[in-house]
Amino acid sequence: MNNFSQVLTRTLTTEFYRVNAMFFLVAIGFCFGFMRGVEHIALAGFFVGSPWLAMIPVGVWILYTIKVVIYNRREVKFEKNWFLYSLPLGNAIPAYVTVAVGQLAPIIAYGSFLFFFALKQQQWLVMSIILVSLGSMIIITTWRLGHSLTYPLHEKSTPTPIRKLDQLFAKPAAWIFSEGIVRSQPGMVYVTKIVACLVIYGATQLYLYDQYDERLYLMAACAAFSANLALVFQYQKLEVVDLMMFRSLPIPFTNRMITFVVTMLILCFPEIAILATNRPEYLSITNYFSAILFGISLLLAGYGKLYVRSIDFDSFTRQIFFVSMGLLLTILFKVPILVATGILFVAGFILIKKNYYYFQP
Amino acid sequence: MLEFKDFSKGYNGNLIITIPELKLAPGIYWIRGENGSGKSTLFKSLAGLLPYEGSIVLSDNINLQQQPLEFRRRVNFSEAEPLFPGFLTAKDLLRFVGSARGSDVAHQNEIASKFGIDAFIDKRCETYSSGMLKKLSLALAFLGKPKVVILDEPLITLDEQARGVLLGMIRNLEDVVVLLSSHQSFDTSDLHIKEKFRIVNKTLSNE
Repeated sequence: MNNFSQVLTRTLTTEFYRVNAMFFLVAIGFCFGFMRGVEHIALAGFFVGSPWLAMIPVGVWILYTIKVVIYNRREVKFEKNWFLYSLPLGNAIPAYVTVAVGQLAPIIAYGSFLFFFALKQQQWLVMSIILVSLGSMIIITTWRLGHSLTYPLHEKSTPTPIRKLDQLFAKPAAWIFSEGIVRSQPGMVYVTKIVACLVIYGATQLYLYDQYDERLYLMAACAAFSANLALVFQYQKLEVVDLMMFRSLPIPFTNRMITFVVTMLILCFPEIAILATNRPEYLSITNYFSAILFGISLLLAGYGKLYVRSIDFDSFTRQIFFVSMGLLLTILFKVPILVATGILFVAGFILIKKNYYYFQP
Repeated sequence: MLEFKDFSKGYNGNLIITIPELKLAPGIYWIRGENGSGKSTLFKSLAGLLPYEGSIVLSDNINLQQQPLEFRRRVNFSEAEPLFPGFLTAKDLLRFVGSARGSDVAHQNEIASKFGIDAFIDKRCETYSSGMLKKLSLALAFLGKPKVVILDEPLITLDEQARGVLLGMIRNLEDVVVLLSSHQSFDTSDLHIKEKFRIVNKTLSNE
Protein backbone atom coordinates (compact mmCIF):
# COMPACT_ATOMS: atom_id res chain seq x y z
CA MET A 1 0.00 0.00 0.00
CA ASN A 2 1.57 3.30 -1.03
CA ASN A 3 1.61 6.46 1.01
CA PHE A 4 -1.50 7.89 -0.69
CA SER A 5 -3.50 4.74 0.06
CA GLN A 6 -2.32 4.62 3.65
CA VAL A 7 -3.29 8.21 4.39
CA LEU A 8 -6.61 7.99 2.57
CA THR A 9 -7.47 4.66 4.20
CA ARG A 10 -6.78 6.00 7.67
CA THR A 11 -8.68 9.20 6.97
CA LEU A 12 -11.73 7.73 5.29
CA THR A 13 -12.00 3.92 5.62
CA THR A 14 -10.99 3.54 9.27
CA GLU A 15 -13.06 6.54 10.26
CA PHE A 16 -16.04 5.23 8.30
CA TYR A 17 -16.08 2.01 10.34
CA ARG A 18 -15.43 3.87 13.58
CA VAL A 19 -18.26 6.35 13.02
CA ASN A 20 -20.64 3.59 11.95
CA ALA A 21 -19.54 1.08 14.60
CA MET A 22 -23.04 0.90 16.08
CA PHE A 23 -24.60 0.22 12.68
CA PHE A 24 -22.15 -2.63 11.99
CA LEU A 25 -22.57 -4.06 15.48
CA VAL A 26 -26.34 -4.19 14.98
CA ALA A 27 -25.87 -5.76 11.53
CA ILE A 28 -23.42 -8.36 12.88
CA GLY A 29 -25.70 -9.05 15.86
CA PHE A 30 -28.61 -9.59 13.50
CA CYS A 31 -26.72 -11.79 11.05
CA PHE A 32 -24.84 -13.95 13.52
CA GLY A 33 -27.12 -13.71 16.52
CA PHE A 34 -30.63 -14.11 15.16
CA MET A 35 -29.84 -16.20 12.10
CA ARG A 36 -28.26 -19.64 12.12
CA GLY A 37 -26.02 -21.01 9.37
CA VAL A 38 -28.81 -23.06 7.84
CA GLU A 39 -31.00 -19.98 7.60
CA HIS A 40 -28.23 -18.05 5.89
CA ILE A 41 -27.93 -20.81 3.32
CA ALA A 42 -31.70 -20.88 2.82
CA LEU A 43 -31.78 -17.11 2.37
CA ALA A 44 -28.87 -17.19 -0.10
CA GLY A 45 -30.66 -19.96 -2.03
CA PHE A 46 -33.75 -17.75 -2.15
CA PHE A 47 -31.81 -14.69 -3.40
CA VAL A 48 -30.04 -16.55 -6.18
CA GLY A 49 -33.24 -18.39 -7.16
CA SER A 50 -34.05 -15.87 -9.89
CA PRO A 51 -32.63 -12.63 -11.31
CA TRP A 52 -35.61 -10.72 -9.85
CA LEU A 53 -34.97 -12.03 -6.36
CA ALA A 54 -31.27 -11.19 -6.75
CA MET A 55 -32.35 -7.56 -7.03
CA ILE A 56 -33.25 -7.59 -3.31
CA PRO A 57 -29.64 -7.77 -2.07
CA VAL A 58 -28.57 -5.53 -4.95
CA GLY A 59 -31.07 -2.91 -3.71
CA VAL A 60 -29.56 -3.10 -0.23
CA TRP A 61 -26.07 -2.76 -1.70
CA ILE A 62 -27.15 0.34 -3.61
CA LEU A 63 -28.38 1.93 -0.37
CA TYR A 64 -25.10 1.01 1.32
CA THR A 65 -23.09 2.49 -1.58
CA ILE A 66 -25.11 5.72 -1.37
CA LYS A 67 -24.30 5.85 2.33
CA VAL A 68 -20.57 5.44 1.56
CA VAL A 69 -20.58 8.06 -1.20
CA ILE A 70 -22.43 10.60 0.97
CA TYR A 71 -20.07 9.90 3.86
CA ASN A 72 -16.98 10.46 1.70
CA ARG A 73 -18.36 13.64 0.16
CA ARG A 74 -19.20 15.05 3.57
CA GLU A 75 -15.91 13.96 5.13
CA VAL A 76 -13.62 15.53 2.51
CA LYS A 77 -15.42 18.85 2.96
CA PHE A 78 -14.35 19.12 6.60
CA GLU A 79 -11.57 21.64 7.01
CA LYS A 80 -9.38 19.11 8.80
CA ASN A 81 -9.39 17.00 5.62
CA TRP A 82 -8.59 19.75 3.14
CA PHE A 83 -5.02 18.45 2.90
CA LEU A 84 -6.50 15.60 0.84
CA TYR A 85 -7.12 18.02 -2.03
CA SER A 86 -3.48 17.70 -3.02
CA LEU A 87 -4.02 13.99 -3.69
CA PRO A 88 -5.36 14.35 -7.25
CA LEU A 89 -2.08 16.03 -8.21
CA GLY A 90 -0.38 12.62 -8.06
CA ASN A 91 -1.51 9.20 -9.24
CA ALA A 92 -4.23 8.76 -6.67
CA ILE A 93 -6.52 6.31 -8.49
CA PRO A 94 -5.08 3.19 -6.72
CA ALA A 95 -5.68 4.98 -3.42
CA TYR A 96 -9.30 5.76 -4.37
CA VAL A 97 -9.86 2.11 -5.36
CA THR A 98 -8.30 0.90 -2.08
CA VAL A 99 -10.66 3.12 -0.09
CA ALA A 100 -13.69 2.13 -2.15
CA VAL A 101 -12.96 -1.58 -1.77
CA GLY A 102 -12.26 -1.13 1.94
CA GLN A 103 -15.51 0.70 2.57
CA LEU A 104 -17.57 -1.65 0.40
CA ALA A 105 -15.94 -4.75 1.98
CA PRO A 106 -19.13 -5.94 3.75
CA ILE A 107 -21.18 -6.01 0.53
CA ILE A 108 -18.26 -7.43 -1.46
CA ALA A 109 -17.99 -10.25 1.10
CA TYR A 110 -21.71 -11.04 1.01
CA GLY A 111 -21.77 -10.62 -2.78
CA SER A 112 -18.94 -13.18 -3.10
CA PHE A 113 -20.91 -15.57 -0.88
CA LEU A 114 -23.96 -15.20 -3.15
CA PHE A 115 -21.77 -15.45 -6.26
CA PHE A 116 -20.39 -18.86 -5.29
CA PHE A 117 -23.86 -19.99 -4.31
CA ALA A 118 -25.15 -18.99 -7.74
CA LEU A 119 -22.18 -20.74 -9.34
CA LYS A 120 -23.12 -23.92 -7.51
CA GLN A 121 -26.66 -23.67 -8.87
CA GLN A 122 -25.38 -22.60 -12.30
CA GLN A 123 -27.43 -19.41 -12.24
CA TRP A 124 -25.33 -17.60 -14.86
CA LEU A 125 -27.56 -14.54 -15.12
CA VAL A 126 -27.63 -14.06 -11.35
CA MET A 127 -23.84 -14.38 -11.28
CA SER A 128 -23.55 -11.68 -13.92
CA ILE A 129 -25.94 -9.40 -12.01
CA ILE A 130 -23.87 -9.80 -8.85
CA LEU A 131 -20.57 -9.21 -10.65
CA VAL A 132 -21.81 -6.20 -12.60
CA SER A 133 -23.48 -4.71 -9.50
CA LEU A 134 -20.44 -5.02 -7.28
CA GLY A 135 -18.11 -3.82 -10.04
CA SER A 136 -20.33 -0.80 -10.73
CA MET A 137 -20.51 0.07 -7.07
CA ILE A 138 -16.72 0.01 -6.71
CA ILE A 139 -16.35 2.15 -9.84
CA ILE A 140 -19.02 4.63 -8.73
CA THR A 141 -17.56 4.96 -5.23
CA THR A 142 -14.07 5.43 -6.67
CA TRP A 143 -15.26 7.98 -9.22
CA ARG A 144 -17.30 9.98 -6.70
CA LEU A 145 -14.40 10.08 -4.24
CA GLY A 146 -12.02 11.26 -6.97
CA HIS A 147 -14.57 13.82 -8.10
CA SER A 148 -15.10 15.15 -4.57
CA LEU A 149 -11.36 15.64 -4.16
CA THR A 150 -10.76 17.09 -7.62
CA TYR A 151 -13.71 19.51 -7.57
CA PRO A 152 -14.12 20.54 -3.96
CA LEU A 153 -17.12 22.83 -3.65
CA HIS A 154 -17.25 24.70 -0.39
CA GLU A 155 -19.71 27.28 -1.50
CA LYS A 156 -23.11 26.84 0.04
CA SER A 157 -26.19 28.25 -1.54
CA THR A 158 -29.66 28.56 -0.10
CA PRO A 159 -32.64 27.51 -2.24
CA THR A 160 -34.75 30.49 -3.34
CA PRO A 161 -37.97 29.54 -1.44
CA ILE A 162 -36.01 29.17 1.80
CA ARG A 163 -34.19 32.45 1.13
CA LYS A 164 -37.56 34.18 0.64
CA LEU A 165 -38.83 32.64 3.87
CA ASP A 166 -35.71 33.83 5.70
CA GLN A 167 -36.39 37.37 4.53
CA LEU A 168 -39.95 37.31 5.85
CA PHE A 169 -39.28 37.03 9.57
CA ALA A 170 -36.68 36.28 12.22
CA LYS A 171 -36.95 32.84 13.73
CA PRO A 172 -38.17 32.53 17.32
CA ALA A 173 -36.11 30.49 19.80
CA ALA A 174 -38.26 27.32 19.65
CA TRP A 175 -38.00 27.35 15.84
CA ILE A 176 -34.22 27.76 16.03
CA PHE A 177 -33.89 24.77 18.35
CA SER A 178 -36.33 22.57 16.43
CA GLU A 179 -34.67 23.33 13.10
CA GLY A 180 -31.21 22.97 14.64
CA ILE A 181 -32.01 19.47 15.91
CA VAL A 182 -33.61 18.32 12.66
CA ARG A 183 -30.70 19.69 10.63
CA SER A 184 -27.94 18.32 12.83
CA GLN A 185 -29.41 14.81 13.16
CA PRO A 186 -32.04 14.28 10.45
CA GLY A 187 -31.63 10.49 10.47
CA MET A 188 -32.01 10.30 14.23
CA VAL A 189 -35.12 12.49 14.16
CA TYR A 190 -36.84 10.48 11.43
CA VAL A 191 -35.97 7.09 12.94
CA THR A 192 -37.10 8.27 16.40
CA LYS A 193 -40.41 9.52 14.98
CA ILE A 194 -41.05 6.36 12.99
CA VAL A 195 -40.18 4.01 15.86
CA ALA A 196 -42.08 6.03 18.48
CA CYS A 197 -45.19 6.28 16.29
CA LEU A 198 -45.07 2.57 15.46
CA VAL A 199 -44.81 1.70 19.16
CA ILE A 200 -47.88 3.80 19.96
CA TYR A 201 -49.80 2.53 16.94
CA GLY A 202 -48.91 -1.10 17.67
CA ALA A 203 -49.87 -0.85 21.32
CA THR A 204 -53.16 0.91 20.63
CA GLN A 205 -54.07 -1.74 18.03
CA LEU A 206 -54.08 -4.31 20.84
CA TYR A 207 -57.08 -2.53 22.35
CA LEU A 208 -59.09 -3.61 19.29
CA TYR A 209 -58.72 -7.29 20.16
CA ASP A 210 -58.73 -7.36 23.92
CA GLN A 211 -59.76 -5.38 26.94
CA TYR A 212 -56.91 -3.49 28.60
CA ASP A 213 -56.90 -0.62 31.07
CA GLU A 214 -55.05 2.66 30.48
CA ARG A 215 -51.67 1.23 31.50
CA LEU A 216 -50.85 -0.19 28.07
CA TYR A 217 -51.63 3.20 26.49
CA LEU A 218 -49.44 4.97 29.05
CA MET A 219 -46.62 2.43 28.64
CA ALA A 220 -46.63 3.03 24.89
CA ALA A 221 -46.45 6.79 25.53
CA CYS A 222 -43.61 6.20 28.00
CA ALA A 223 -41.61 4.18 25.45
CA ALA A 224 -42.28 6.74 22.71
CA PHE A 225 -41.23 9.74 24.78
CA SER A 226 -38.19 7.85 26.12
CA ALA A 227 -37.04 7.47 22.52
CA ASN A 228 -37.33 11.25 22.19
CA LEU A 229 -34.77 11.72 24.96
CA ALA A 230 -32.20 11.29 22.19
CA LEU A 231 -33.51 14.58 20.77
CA VAL A 232 -33.21 16.19 24.20
CA PHE A 233 -29.52 15.28 24.08
CA GLN A 234 -29.24 17.14 20.77
CA TYR A 235 -31.15 20.10 22.21
CA GLN A 236 -28.67 20.43 25.06
CA LYS A 237 -25.71 19.99 22.70
CA LEU A 238 -27.06 22.77 20.51
CA GLU A 239 -27.51 24.94 23.57
CA VAL A 240 -24.05 24.50 25.07
CA VAL A 241 -21.90 23.94 22.00
CA ASP A 242 -23.34 25.12 18.69
CA LEU A 243 -25.31 28.05 20.07
CA MET A 244 -22.99 28.73 22.97
CA MET A 245 -24.00 32.35 23.39
CA PHE A 246 -27.56 31.27 24.29
CA ARG A 247 -26.53 30.56 27.86
CA SER A 248 -24.78 33.92 28.18
CA LEU A 249 -27.92 35.85 27.21
CA PRO A 250 -30.11 37.46 29.88
CA ILE A 251 -33.09 35.23 29.16
CA PRO A 252 -35.30 34.58 32.22
CA PHE A 253 -35.26 31.01 33.43
CA THR A 254 -39.00 30.61 32.82
CA ASN A 255 -38.56 31.64 29.19
CA ARG A 256 -35.78 29.08 28.76
CA MET A 257 -38.08 26.39 30.14
CA ILE A 258 -40.92 27.51 27.88
CA THR A 259 -38.58 27.39 24.88
CA PHE A 260 -37.60 23.84 25.80
CA VAL A 261 -41.18 22.65 26.29
CA VAL A 262 -42.44 24.31 23.09
CA THR A 263 -39.53 22.83 21.11
CA MET A 264 -40.32 19.38 22.47
CA LEU A 265 -44.02 19.80 21.70
CA ILE A 266 -43.11 20.71 18.11
CA LEU A 267 -40.72 17.78 17.75
CA CYS A 268 -43.13 15.34 19.43
CA PHE A 269 -46.12 16.47 17.38
CA PRO A 270 -46.34 13.14 15.47
CA GLU A 271 -46.47 11.14 18.73
CA ILE A 272 -48.99 13.55 20.25
CA ALA A 273 -51.16 13.27 17.14
CA ILE A 274 -50.93 9.46 17.02
CA LEU A 275 -51.80 9.26 20.72
CA ALA A 276 -54.88 11.39 20.03
CA THR A 277 -56.10 9.64 16.90
CA ASN A 278 -55.53 6.14 18.25
CA ARG A 279 -56.86 6.65 21.76
CA PRO A 280 -59.15 3.69 22.53
CA GLU A 281 -62.74 4.85 22.80
CA TYR A 282 -63.25 3.64 26.32
CA LEU A 283 -60.19 5.52 27.67
CA SER A 284 -61.00 9.03 28.83
CA ILE A 285 -59.48 12.21 27.42
CA THR A 286 -57.78 12.61 30.82
CA ASN A 287 -55.66 9.58 29.96
CA TYR A 288 -54.56 11.31 26.77
CA PHE A 289 -53.50 14.50 28.53
CA SER A 290 -51.88 12.48 31.34
CA ALA A 291 -49.78 10.66 28.73
CA ILE A 292 -48.66 13.95 27.11
CA LEU A 293 -47.86 15.56 30.46
CA PHE A 294 -46.00 12.47 31.56
CA GLY A 295 -43.98 12.48 28.32
CA ILE A 296 -43.03 16.14 28.64
CA SER A 297 -42.06 15.66 32.29
CA LEU A 298 -39.85 12.74 31.26
CA LEU A 299 -38.13 14.91 28.65
CA LEU A 300 -37.67 17.71 31.17
CA ALA A 301 -36.13 15.31 33.69
CA GLY A 302 -33.76 14.01 30.99
CA TYR A 303 -32.84 17.59 30.12
CA GLY A 304 -32.10 18.28 33.78
CA LYS A 305 -29.97 15.15 34.01
CA LEU A 306 -27.85 16.33 31.10
CA TYR A 307 -26.91 19.44 33.06
CA VAL A 308 -25.61 17.50 36.06
CA ARG A 309 -22.38 16.66 34.27
CA SER A 310 -21.17 16.33 30.72
CA ILE A 311 -21.80 12.83 29.34
CA ASP A 312 -21.50 11.29 25.90
CA PHE A 313 -24.42 10.05 23.88
CA ASP A 314 -23.73 6.34 24.49
CA SER A 315 -23.73 6.77 28.28
CA PHE A 316 -26.90 8.82 28.04
CA THR A 317 -28.70 6.17 25.98
CA ARG A 318 -27.72 3.53 28.53
CA GLN A 319 -29.23 5.68 31.26
CA ILE A 320 -32.36 6.22 29.15
CA PHE A 321 -32.76 2.46 28.85
CA PHE A 322 -32.67 1.86 32.61
CA VAL A 323 -34.87 4.84 33.44
CA SER A 324 -37.43 3.77 30.82
CA MET A 325 -37.51 0.27 32.24
CA GLY A 326 -38.07 1.69 35.71
CA LEU A 327 -40.87 3.96 34.50
CA LEU A 328 -42.56 1.14 32.62
CA LEU A 329 -42.54 -0.84 35.85
CA THR A 330 -44.04 2.03 37.83
CA ILE A 331 -46.88 2.21 35.30
CA LEU A 332 -47.27 -1.57 35.33
CA PHE A 333 -47.52 -1.60 39.11
CA LYS A 334 -50.20 1.10 39.04
CA VAL A 335 -48.23 3.97 40.52
CA PRO A 336 -50.54 6.93 39.70
CA ILE A 337 -49.25 8.56 36.53
CA LEU A 338 -49.76 12.06 37.89
CA VAL A 339 -47.51 11.24 40.84
CA ALA A 340 -44.75 10.03 38.50
CA THR A 341 -45.29 13.11 36.32
CA GLY A 342 -45.03 15.43 39.31
CA ILE A 343 -41.84 13.78 40.53
CA LEU A 344 -40.24 14.00 37.07
CA PHE A 345 -41.26 17.65 36.64
CA VAL A 346 -39.89 18.64 40.04
CA ALA A 347 -36.68 16.61 39.58
CA GLY A 348 -36.07 18.09 36.15
CA PHE A 349 -36.79 21.63 37.27
CA ILE A 350 -34.50 21.37 40.32
CA LEU A 351 -31.64 19.84 38.31
CA ILE A 352 -31.84 22.51 35.63
CA LYS A 353 -32.22 25.37 38.10
CA LYS A 354 -29.27 24.11 40.13
CA ASN A 355 -26.85 23.33 37.32
CA TYR A 356 -27.83 25.36 34.26
CA TYR A 357 -25.41 28.24 34.74
CA TYR A 358 -22.60 26.14 36.22
CA PHE A 359 -22.45 23.45 33.59
CA GLN A 360 -19.14 22.92 31.84
CA PRO A 361 -19.39 21.22 28.44
CA MET B 1 -17.02 48.61 38.16
CA LEU B 2 -16.03 44.99 37.68
CA GLU B 3 -14.50 43.17 40.60
CA PHE B 4 -12.73 39.82 40.81
CA LYS B 5 -12.09 38.22 44.17
CA ASP B 6 -10.22 34.95 44.64
CA PHE B 7 -11.09 34.07 41.07
CA SER B 8 -9.59 30.89 39.69
CA LYS B 9 -10.39 28.63 36.80
CA GLY B 10 -8.94 25.24 36.02
CA TYR B 11 -9.73 22.15 34.00
CA ASN B 12 -9.51 18.75 35.67
CA GLY B 13 -7.48 20.10 38.56
CA ASN B 14 -5.03 22.03 36.34
CA LEU B 15 -5.08 25.72 37.14
CA ILE B 16 -5.42 27.86 34.03
CA ILE B 17 -5.77 31.33 35.49
CA THR B 18 -6.20 32.95 38.87
CA ILE B 19 -6.93 36.53 39.90
CA PRO B 20 -6.67 37.04 43.67
CA GLU B 21 -8.14 40.55 43.60
CA LEU B 22 -8.80 43.06 40.85
CA LYS B 23 -11.12 46.04 40.44
CA LEU B 24 -11.72 47.53 37.03
CA ALA B 25 -13.36 50.93 36.72
CA PRO B 26 -15.10 51.85 33.44
CA GLY B 27 -12.57 52.21 30.64
CA ILE B 28 -10.74 50.18 28.06
CA TYR B 29 -8.40 47.41 29.15
CA TRP B 30 -6.11 45.45 26.90
CA ILE B 31 -5.24 41.93 27.99
CA ARG B 32 -2.34 40.29 26.25
CA GLY B 33 -0.98 36.81 26.47
CA GLU B 34 0.45 34.03 24.39
CA ASN B 35 -1.71 31.35 22.81
CA GLY B 36 -3.11 29.11 25.51
CA SER B 37 -2.35 31.58 28.29
CA GLY B 38 -5.98 31.56 29.43
CA LYS B 39 -7.40 34.75 27.91
CA SER B 40 -10.37 33.05 26.31
CA THR B 41 -10.99 30.92 29.42
CA LEU B 42 -11.06 34.08 31.54
CA PHE B 43 -13.46 35.76 29.12
CA LYS B 44 -15.76 32.76 28.88
CA SER B 45 -15.90 32.53 32.66
CA LEU B 46 -16.73 36.21 32.83
CA ALA B 47 -19.45 35.77 30.22
CA GLY B 48 -21.02 33.02 32.34
CA LEU B 49 -20.14 30.23 29.93
CA LEU B 50 -17.74 28.36 32.21
CA PRO B 51 -17.98 27.67 35.94
CA TYR B 52 -15.18 29.00 38.16
CA GLU B 53 -14.11 29.42 41.79
CA GLY B 54 -14.28 32.75 43.62
CA SER B 55 -16.49 35.68 42.75
CA ILE B 56 -17.03 38.11 39.93
CA VAL B 57 -19.14 41.10 40.92
CA LEU B 58 -20.42 44.12 39.03
CA SER B 59 -21.32 47.46 40.55
CA ASP B 60 -24.71 47.37 42.31
CA ASN B 61 -23.36 44.21 43.92
CA ILE B 62 -24.49 42.00 41.05
CA ASN B 63 -22.77 38.66 41.38
CA LEU B 64 -22.52 36.34 38.41
CA GLN B 65 -23.18 33.25 40.51
CA GLN B 66 -25.98 34.72 42.61
CA GLN B 67 -27.77 36.85 40.02
CA PRO B 68 -26.94 35.13 36.74
CA LEU B 69 -29.71 36.86 34.81
CA GLU B 70 -28.96 40.41 35.95
CA PHE B 71 -25.25 39.81 35.39
CA ARG B 72 -25.80 38.52 31.87
CA ARG B 73 -27.96 41.53 31.06
CA ARG B 74 -24.93 43.73 31.69
CA VAL B 75 -22.17 41.66 30.08
CA ASN B 76 -21.76 41.22 26.33
CA PHE B 77 -19.20 38.90 24.81
CA SER B 78 -17.79 38.35 21.35
CA GLU B 79 -15.77 35.21 20.79
CA ALA B 80 -12.38 35.04 19.10
CA GLU B 81 -13.56 32.64 16.44
CA PRO B 82 -17.34 32.85 16.41
CA LEU B 83 -19.47 30.01 15.13
CA PHE B 84 -23.22 30.09 14.62
CA PRO B 85 -25.62 27.43 13.36
CA GLY B 86 -25.43 27.58 9.57
CA PHE B 87 -29.19 27.74 9.05
CA LEU B 88 -29.60 31.02 10.91
CA THR B 89 -29.39 34.39 9.19
CA ALA B 90 -27.75 37.50 10.63
CA LYS B 91 -31.26 38.89 11.06
CA ASP B 92 -32.35 35.84 13.09
CA LEU B 93 -29.39 36.31 15.42
CA LEU B 94 -29.72 40.09 15.69
CA ARG B 95 -33.43 39.84 16.53
CA PHE B 96 -32.90 36.93 18.91
CA VAL B 97 -29.99 38.39 20.85
CA GLY B 98 -31.42 41.92 20.52
CA SER B 99 -34.74 40.96 22.07
CA ALA B 100 -32.97 39.11 24.90
CA ARG B 101 -30.79 42.14 25.57
CA GLY B 102 -33.60 44.68 25.29
CA SER B 103 -32.34 46.31 22.11
CA ASP B 104 -35.01 47.59 19.72
CA VAL B 105 -35.05 46.73 16.03
CA ALA B 106 -33.92 50.24 15.02
CA HIS B 107 -30.83 49.92 17.19
CA GLN B 108 -30.13 46.43 15.84
CA ASN B 109 -30.38 47.71 12.28
CA GLU B 110 -28.19 50.70 13.05
CA ILE B 111 -25.40 48.49 14.40
CA ALA B 112 -25.82 46.05 11.51
CA SER B 113 -25.53 48.92 9.09
CA LYS B 114 -22.40 50.29 10.75
CA PHE B 115 -20.65 46.95 10.39
CA GLY B 116 -21.95 46.47 6.85
CA ILE B 117 -23.99 43.47 7.90
CA ASP B 118 -27.13 44.85 6.25
CA ALA B 119 -25.67 43.71 2.94
CA PHE B 120 -26.00 40.06 3.96
CA ILE B 121 -28.55 40.27 6.76
CA ASP B 122 -30.96 37.78 5.13
CA LYS B 123 -28.30 35.28 4.13
CA ARG B 124 -27.59 32.19 6.17
CA CYS B 125 -24.45 31.93 8.29
CA GLU B 126 -23.35 28.82 6.37
CA THR B 127 -22.61 31.11 3.43
CA TYR B 128 -20.50 33.61 5.43
CA SER B 129 -16.77 34.12 5.32
CA SER B 130 -14.85 34.22 8.61
CA GLY B 131 -14.74 38.03 8.38
CA MET B 132 -18.54 38.22 8.02
CA LEU B 133 -18.98 35.91 11.02
CA LYS B 134 -16.62 38.08 13.03
CA LYS B 135 -18.52 41.26 12.11
CA LEU B 136 -21.79 39.63 13.14
CA SER B 137 -20.35 38.46 16.45
CA LEU B 138 -18.99 41.95 17.18
CA ALA B 139 -22.30 43.56 16.25
CA LEU B 140 -24.11 41.25 18.69
CA ALA B 141 -21.70 42.36 21.43
CA PHE B 142 -22.89 45.97 21.10
CA LEU B 143 -26.61 45.27 21.49
CA GLY B 144 -28.48 46.40 24.59
CA LYS B 145 -26.98 48.49 27.35
CA PRO B 146 -23.97 46.53 28.57
CA LYS B 147 -21.78 47.55 31.48
CA VAL B 148 -19.03 45.17 30.42
CA VAL B 149 -18.11 44.40 26.84
CA ILE B 150 -15.68 41.55 26.28
CA LEU B 151 -14.08 41.32 22.87
CA ASP B 152 -11.82 38.33 22.41
CA GLU B 153 -9.32 38.97 19.61
CA PRO B 154 -11.63 41.56 18.03
CA LEU B 155 -9.36 42.52 15.17
CA ILE B 156 -8.58 39.18 13.58
CA THR B 157 -10.13 38.67 10.11
CA LEU B 158 -11.59 42.21 10.10
CA ASP B 159 -11.10 44.47 7.10
CA GLU B 160 -9.76 48.03 7.53
CA GLN B 161 -13.19 49.65 7.31
CA ALA B 162 -14.76 47.36 9.90
CA ARG B 163 -11.73 47.84 12.12
CA GLY B 164 -12.32 51.60 12.02
CA VAL B 165 -16.01 51.12 12.83
CA LEU B 166 -15.18 48.82 15.73
CA LEU B 167 -12.63 51.19 17.26
CA GLY B 168 -15.12 54.05 16.88
CA MET B 169 -17.84 52.08 18.63
CA ILE B 170 -15.52 51.13 21.46
CA ARG B 171 -14.52 54.78 21.85
CA ASN B 172 -18.16 55.81 22.06
CA LEU B 173 -18.98 53.44 24.90
CA GLU B 174 -19.53 55.41 28.06
CA ASP B 175 -19.34 54.12 31.59
CA VAL B 176 -18.52 50.65 30.29
CA VAL B 177 -15.68 48.28 31.15
CA VAL B 178 -14.26 47.11 27.83
CA LEU B 179 -11.95 44.11 27.89
CA LEU B 180 -9.99 43.52 24.71
CA SER B 181 -7.66 40.66 24.14
CA SER B 182 -5.04 40.33 21.53
CA HIS B 183 -1.86 38.36 21.25
CA GLN B 184 -0.68 40.72 18.54
CA SER B 185 0.25 44.39 18.86
CA PHE B 186 -2.05 46.93 17.30
CA ASP B 187 -2.02 50.69 17.08
CA THR B 188 -3.85 51.91 20.16
CA SER B 189 -3.27 55.61 19.55
CA ASP B 190 -6.95 55.91 18.57
CA LEU B 191 -8.13 54.31 21.78
CA HIS B 192 -7.60 55.57 25.25
CA ILE B 193 -6.39 52.39 26.90
CA LYS B 194 -6.78 52.73 30.62
CA GLU B 195 -4.53 49.84 31.54
CA LYS B 196 -2.68 47.02 29.85
CA PHE B 197 -2.40 43.58 31.39
CA ARG B 198 -0.39 40.55 30.45
CA ILE B 199 -1.13 37.02 31.57
CA VAL B 200 2.06 35.81 33.21
CA ASN B 201 2.39 32.78 35.47
CA LYS B 202 -1.34 32.13 35.22
CA THR B 203 -2.37 35.52 36.54
CA LEU B 204 -2.86 39.07 35.32
CA SER B 205 0.02 41.50 35.76
CA ASN B 206 0.25 45.14 34.78
CA GLU B 207 2.46 45.90 31.80
